[in-house]
Amino acid sequence: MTITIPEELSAKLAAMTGEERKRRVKEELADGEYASTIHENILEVLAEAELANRFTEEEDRADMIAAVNEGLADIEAGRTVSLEDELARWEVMKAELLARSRK
Amino acid sequence: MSGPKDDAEKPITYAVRLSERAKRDIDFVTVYLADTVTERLAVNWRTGLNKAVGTLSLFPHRNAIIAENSLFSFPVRDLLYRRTTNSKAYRVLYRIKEEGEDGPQVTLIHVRLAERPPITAEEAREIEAQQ
Repeated sequence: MTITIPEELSAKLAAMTGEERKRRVKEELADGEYASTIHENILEVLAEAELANRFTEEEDRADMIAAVNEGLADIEAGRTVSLEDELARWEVMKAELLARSRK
Repeated sequence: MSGPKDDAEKPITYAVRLSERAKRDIDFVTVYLADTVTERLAVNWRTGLNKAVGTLSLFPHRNAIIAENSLFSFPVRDLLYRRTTNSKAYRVLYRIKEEGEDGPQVTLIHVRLAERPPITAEEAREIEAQQ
């Protein structure tokens, strides 16, 4: 699915913080049948673009190398958890997120 | 009745583990998506990621060793995960250990947005030379 949003709105949204953007997109778009999915898709594109633009290309490489070395050091030091334990922890976190979304 | 032939055909199952760093990376993206998009989408992203990571227990070798591998002390592979075909991909970097006290293992090292293509071998050598 391709979503086109007005240039003026796009520029305004890009200049906002994540929380402001979330509120504004909800206000700007009509509550049609697919409105909530469209809201999410637009917000996801903007949020991921913001995440990707945190670093320059060079900084991104350096950050990636440092992060991998940190992860490898964790493994060597035994700082790991099993996927089963992680999934159990996720169930608790998921319940909290879903409860928050209902508020 | 099982015999040697059955054992030979049985696929190897790898225990999947996560480094503290990978755990933190996954939590970071989940909370970020919940705060900036919606909690529902964050749950959807994480559920899909968990499913993709789970497949590594059977097929960890299907993903190639990363281009930046020469920079690290251990072969590192990556699994690309996308929530939908329109979403950006995330790189799940991991290593495989074939033998050990606890049997064969796959351990997640780091998870990051794959906004940019992996660096070339030549670029990796340049970075290494600078360090």
